[in-house]
Amino acid sequence: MRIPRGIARTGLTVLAALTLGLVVLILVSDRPSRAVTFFFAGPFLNLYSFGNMLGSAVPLMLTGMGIVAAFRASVFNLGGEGQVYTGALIATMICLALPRLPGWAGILLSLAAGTLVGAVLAGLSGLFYARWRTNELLSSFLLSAAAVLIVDYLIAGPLDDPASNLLATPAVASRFRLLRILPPSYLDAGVAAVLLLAVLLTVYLFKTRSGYELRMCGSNREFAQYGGIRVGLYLVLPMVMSGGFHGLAGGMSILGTHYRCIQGFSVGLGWNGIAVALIGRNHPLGVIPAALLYAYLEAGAQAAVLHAGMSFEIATLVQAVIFYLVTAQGLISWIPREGLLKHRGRPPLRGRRKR
Amino acid sequence: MGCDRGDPVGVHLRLRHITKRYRVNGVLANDDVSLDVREGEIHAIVGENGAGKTTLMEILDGLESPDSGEIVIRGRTAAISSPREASRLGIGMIHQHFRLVRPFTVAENVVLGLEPRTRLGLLDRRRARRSVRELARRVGFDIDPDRRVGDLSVSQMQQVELVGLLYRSAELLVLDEPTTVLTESQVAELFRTLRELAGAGKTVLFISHKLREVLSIADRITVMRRGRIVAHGRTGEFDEQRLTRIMMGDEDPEPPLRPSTAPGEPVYEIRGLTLHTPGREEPALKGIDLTVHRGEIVGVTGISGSGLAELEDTVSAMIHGQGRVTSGELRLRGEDVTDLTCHQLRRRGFAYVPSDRLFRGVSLDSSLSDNLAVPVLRKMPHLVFVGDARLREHALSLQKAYGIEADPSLPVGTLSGGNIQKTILARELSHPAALVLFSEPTSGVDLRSTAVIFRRLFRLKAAGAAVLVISTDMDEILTLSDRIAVMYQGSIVRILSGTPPPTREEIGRLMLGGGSHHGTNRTGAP
Repeated sequence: MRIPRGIARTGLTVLAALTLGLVVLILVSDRPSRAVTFFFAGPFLNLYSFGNMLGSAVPLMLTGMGIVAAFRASVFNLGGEGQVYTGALIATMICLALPRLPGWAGILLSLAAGTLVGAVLAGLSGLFYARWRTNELLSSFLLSAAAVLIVDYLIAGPLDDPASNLLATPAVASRFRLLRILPPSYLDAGVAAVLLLAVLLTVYLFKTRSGYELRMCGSNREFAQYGGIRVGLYLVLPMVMSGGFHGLAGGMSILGTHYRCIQGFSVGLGWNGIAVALIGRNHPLGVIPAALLYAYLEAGAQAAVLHAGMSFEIATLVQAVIFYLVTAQGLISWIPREGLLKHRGRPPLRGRRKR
Repeated sequence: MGCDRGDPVGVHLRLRHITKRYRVNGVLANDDVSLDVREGEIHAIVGENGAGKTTLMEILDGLESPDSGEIVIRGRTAAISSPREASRLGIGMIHQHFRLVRPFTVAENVVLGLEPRTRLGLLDRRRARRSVRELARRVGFDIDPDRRVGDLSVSQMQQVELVGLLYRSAELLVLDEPTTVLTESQVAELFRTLRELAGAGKTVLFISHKLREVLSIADRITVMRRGRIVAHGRTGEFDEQRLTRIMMGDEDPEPPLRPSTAPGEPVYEIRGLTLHTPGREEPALKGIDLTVHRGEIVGVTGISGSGLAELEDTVSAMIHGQGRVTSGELRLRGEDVTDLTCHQLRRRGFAYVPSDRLFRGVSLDSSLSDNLAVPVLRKMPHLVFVGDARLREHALSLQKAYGIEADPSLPVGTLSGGNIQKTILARELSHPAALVLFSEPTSGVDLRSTAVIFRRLFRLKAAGAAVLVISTDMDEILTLSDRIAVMYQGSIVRILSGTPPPTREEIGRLMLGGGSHHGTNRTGAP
């Protein structure tokens, strides 16, 4: 097992990156001490900021897990953005359409529907790949881009709440909202479910036959096919799971945080999930601290802008410096060392060598 | 380079007391190895898998560094810290597994890293092409500098590697098991080239475990066993028997004899199989008819490109997307299996050792226990909890039976070639199977393991399996097969009885297309 060493390495990288961020911050800031304080300590200064930071990490954990589920099988879901957004809209619509459902039923049904929609959206790309060798990277991205436009239209058009001055749907009934566990912050009870899901995904990937087969397809698809594993299934299934996690992230954001589907509210959740998965070393449990780190930097930047008069661009810059470093490390650790040195490349799906 | 400090004239490479222990597994791979290689000679190093030959080569190539000892090149002590450094010292290496960039052209591959440039600093393709053409002509190769390397045959790829070494003006050519991938005529051609190069002043270090070849090509021979040099001398001092004895130590593997069993009912039938591959008008397989009976080993042989690869992929259902069965059918125990997937074949009792051991036969990045677990898991429900302990135990029991000494949690990519081989065998041959497809059984396998593999195959045969062996190695086809099918240009030109064995000459002639036209169709003993 290389986990302990890997964790140590990631930890060190994070520390080094934070230090560098600190240096940049001191160099570019007008009021360095105040900026540093708010950037790095801001999220911990009061329960409200702290809770919000934790709350914003929750959907990132889900999208990160979604990326892990696909990445472990060497399929790639670049459609996270659209899947989150669509999942959110469908969850909202279910709640709005069935206002008389009991709270628990509405929550379960709307989250299930959001998950399902995300799963279908991504699953299509998997299916196309299995059927016609359509590049799943491109098809998931394009499908998602189209889905985003459709959701945008629905929110701005037929589903718009005329009473609100936001471009948003009406709010869902209060009994469908998830319990806030650290009021007045946004952190809601959904976090427990997400942590449980991370454990379940870990068990699935590493302790079941199906998870084993999925990973085998990821490390060498030709070998998997040869060994009698149904490789076609593991092009579709990981995409379905991935999309499901994304859709659920959208649904939970609505029921836990926003209560209504606001146009563009989820921008970035899909892409950032990829970064989170990389930092989390492509492990469902690693995704949790990775999402927290991401949320922490985001919250710190906000705090620095708000309280230390730092310009938004500078805050983003510092955030980016730290983030690129950590992500690059995650990326590098995924390139097998022998792969570069000894030319043990992974053969393409139908790669053939001549005798 | 020409400066000489007291070393005997004419020693190109001198190794002094090289010792190397691998820290990962504690194996003493080289134990006080000392060796002289003279200018312009062809020097062979022979030994079983795990004798330490490859480690020694990796030390020469700068991929591994010795724990102690000294390397002297033409009188100068050399510290070889990287392949680049090795290349600078005039050492050129051809590895068992080629280091070529498949999507690049021949010329691009040859000049890679040392490209001729135009005045603007761009790759000067004209000059690159010209250099390649000249060098190829000098050694008598017929290769088009503009072909994509991925489209070449294995022997042509080897030629590209060789030209690449000449382009880098290598003086000491090191070839690691270069004949493994070649047919007999290609081996002869390679040997001719090597002799020419040696004649032109290059020194050749030739690593192999094929004694017949070594005896025919080398000027001098060094024998390694378990990391040590156990004998060396002029080729004339050795013969095959003596070399075998030295290589093996006290254990002498007796070549097993094929048990004679009366074949039973037909198990696997190929009827009129015609296969088209994308982009080629001419079918890759033309009307193949072949039946394998219960308790029978049928060997299929031919030169590379005669359709063996396509036959292997079709029988194993790995052809998908690379070819289409346009007529004919495959039947396993009476059932039409033409359109089944590999997954479905496996469930019907199909065991398969592919010719491509490294990429198809194992998953290099996955652990040994994961690699061995596939057939066990296949029998389980999808979502049942599988403990690591259970897979580990399964791995350890197979490892014990097949003598694979390694921790089951290590990635298979860290194992030696011999152990990778055994991993595949352990997985494929430890379960009862109705049909066994075995491609190139002993490619890259030493004598001891060859005997083990043959014995396993004979045991499967005795147990009533139908065994289909596909191989370009005539010797093993002759040893193994009850019947021998010879392929030429996608057709089976003749099916010969294996008892008494046909002559090598006869098979060789058929492989090259001789007698492909309705002559006397000899199917049994005369």
